[in-house]
Amino acid sequence: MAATIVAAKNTARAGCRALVPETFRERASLAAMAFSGILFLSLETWGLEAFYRLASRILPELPGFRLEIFAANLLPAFFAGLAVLMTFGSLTTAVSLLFLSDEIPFLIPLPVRPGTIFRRQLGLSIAYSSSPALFLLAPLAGLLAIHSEHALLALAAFLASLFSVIILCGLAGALLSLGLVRLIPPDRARLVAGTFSALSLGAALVGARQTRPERLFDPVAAVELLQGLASEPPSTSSRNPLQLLALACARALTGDPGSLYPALGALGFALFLFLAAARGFAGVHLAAFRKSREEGTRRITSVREPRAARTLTRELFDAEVRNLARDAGTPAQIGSLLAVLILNVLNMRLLPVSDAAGKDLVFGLQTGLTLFLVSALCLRFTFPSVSTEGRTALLLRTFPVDPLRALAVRLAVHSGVAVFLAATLTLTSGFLLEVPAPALALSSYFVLLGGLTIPAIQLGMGALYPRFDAPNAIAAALGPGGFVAIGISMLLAIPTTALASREVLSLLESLIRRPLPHLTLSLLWGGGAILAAWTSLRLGLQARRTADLSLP
Amino acid sequence: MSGFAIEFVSASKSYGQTEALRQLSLSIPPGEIFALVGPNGAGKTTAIGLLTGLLAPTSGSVRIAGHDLASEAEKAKSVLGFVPDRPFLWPRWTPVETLRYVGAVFRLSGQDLSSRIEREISSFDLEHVRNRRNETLSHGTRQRVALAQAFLHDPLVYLLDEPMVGLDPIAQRHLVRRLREKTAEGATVLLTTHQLLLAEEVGERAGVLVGGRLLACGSPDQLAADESTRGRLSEVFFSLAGVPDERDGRAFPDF
Repeated sequence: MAATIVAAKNTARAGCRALVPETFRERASLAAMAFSGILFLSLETWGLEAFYRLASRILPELPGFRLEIFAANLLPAFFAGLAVLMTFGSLTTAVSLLFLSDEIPFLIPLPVRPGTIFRRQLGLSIAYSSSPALFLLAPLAGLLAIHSEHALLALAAFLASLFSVIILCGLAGALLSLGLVRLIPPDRARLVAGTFSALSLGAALVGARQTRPERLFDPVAAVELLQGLASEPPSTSSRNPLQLLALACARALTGDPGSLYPALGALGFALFLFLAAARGFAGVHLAAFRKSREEGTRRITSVREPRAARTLTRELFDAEVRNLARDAGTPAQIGSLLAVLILNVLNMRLLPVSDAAGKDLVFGLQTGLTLFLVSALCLRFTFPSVSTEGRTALLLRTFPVDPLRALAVRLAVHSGVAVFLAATLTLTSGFLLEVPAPALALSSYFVLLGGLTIPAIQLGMGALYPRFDAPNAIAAALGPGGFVAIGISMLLAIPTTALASREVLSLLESLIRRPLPHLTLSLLWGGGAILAAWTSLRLGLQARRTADLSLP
Repeated sequence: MSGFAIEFVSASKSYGQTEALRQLSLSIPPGEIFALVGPNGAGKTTAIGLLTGLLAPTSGSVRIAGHDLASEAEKAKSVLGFVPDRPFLWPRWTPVETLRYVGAVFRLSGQDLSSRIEREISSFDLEHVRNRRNETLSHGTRQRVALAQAFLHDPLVYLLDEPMVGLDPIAQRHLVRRLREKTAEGATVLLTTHQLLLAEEVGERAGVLVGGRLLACGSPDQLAADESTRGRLSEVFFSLAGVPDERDGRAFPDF
């Protein structure tokens, strides 16, 4: 217990130190992260608050509308989505924390019971995998407390229900990881789990899309939908635990103190199961951990005949493709992209757009969305590609390879992927919407040029602001360089929504009351994109050639 | 209780068809420094893994201070000070925070813990980095922090896996002095190393592990006198590893 308290104090102190950075780079990194976080939370809070104000003005006017029934009908779907995401998210995190973490070989030789180690890692897995959901839900919980008549009761019931789902599903995911690692070695199990996780996120998004939320924009359909959800109470004899939790939360909104008992009961049950599993499965974890270490020793890769080296450029190209293909995030990203593609197809089929103006508007938005997706993927893969060289950067600096050639080859690989993705999304949307050929050609111009220049911008910024000591690609991207890179990429992506859509451009023209020269602006956009890419690459190249390189 | 600080009793470890350690029987009494040498893949890390509980023996048993690692793991580990070949330190903690945590794990607290931390900080020359984050420390300094945490609770048994890696000659000499002080007080040291000179000079006994078998074991004098080995540790090592002698058993050839 004393050690746990010391560890908690150390972690808290380390957290406080992180808030008081020493170097300019750390300060800039912290400022960028804080700014992004506060901006995101503010926008979310503002959106939810606006939605609440609108709903509280309109909904009471609907005949037969009852808030608690509305909540009781909506919350099960919310809890189900959270349950699926938590289970698969925790599966991925648990494979890393229970089997691949450097802490485990450090802790096992200490006089600490296996149950304590397992409980610690299990708790961390659940905490880490739930943190994105908690970050997203914090404004919702805050608004619930502010606007509810019985703030504490509503908040307590909601949080108890939320944490019971998080603990139970996180635990299920972590226990699944024990089984998965018995079948597949941990490093591969992490990739498989990441793919499952991405596919589950994709399935959740596709499921949400299938409910056709665009009906809310049609007044008649929206009233029907809301009345249906707010007037037919769910069965109180349901055996679905998520339904029971939803009912408890809904009753808490009306101020029923008895509603707290089922929520607290569920939380207590979840905590009990957590402790029991930590005790009961500790031996299983230790055995699986030892087996995974043995397999790491035993595994023999097939011996291939050494082949003659080809040209330097070809070898560099092959090495880049290997690095990208073996990146831990690649299978998960492929799963996510698949989901995006399905969503895209669903959007095109379900959206009620038949007229030329509607198609033009949707296709314009689609162009901007495609470049946003390219920017996000480049921030995950292209920007950190220099930083993730880690200590190898020291060795690479000594190699007789021109950094220009190395950067050019890396750019070719990353922009090839980006262009393929952008072209696939644009052509799919174009054909499904049956847009005219000139519109398709214009959109292709934007996404192809964006697919080439956005990776160049991110690669250049990644070389200019490398973080060779970052523990992983995501940490490398969460610095000032990543912030600047995504900022410039977004500045390129957003205008394409207007430039690829006559309707959006006309709207802008009417807003500023002056004509916008479409062709000139499109050419200017292209020139700006090329200039930004060239400048970024040049700065990055200069840093690769001359910047001091010192790693602890 | 057999009276030995470290005991391998016919301990074997197999990974599928591969036998990493074969019927290892080795007893190290209290107060001895034992050096385990062997080529890469000989089974040294496996032997250390069995002693730390990171691996379980396929057959046989392993004991520390009379406590079986299988049935009394916590008791065995409570007298163990371990330095792995690649030390793990929480990156965002400082050396002092790391030592305080390890001390708490070994049930140390209050003034006793504070004075031990100061002792080790001073001993391993960590004063100037005591409040710096571990992630900013050099490789050698991290190794010194790892050594400090192994010495903190005055263990009965020290397991050091390649302890000299990254240490400067001053720190190496200091470490040897500390180990000799500890063994004079009754502690036992098992160290694995590729530095044959170190094993020869520091180890009161040495063992040569090749292909999972302990092919030679004894003091430098015993190894020199033994009919089957006959020679300095470096000669014995190259001979048992199947590498022809370069010249008079020297570790490196004469150019």
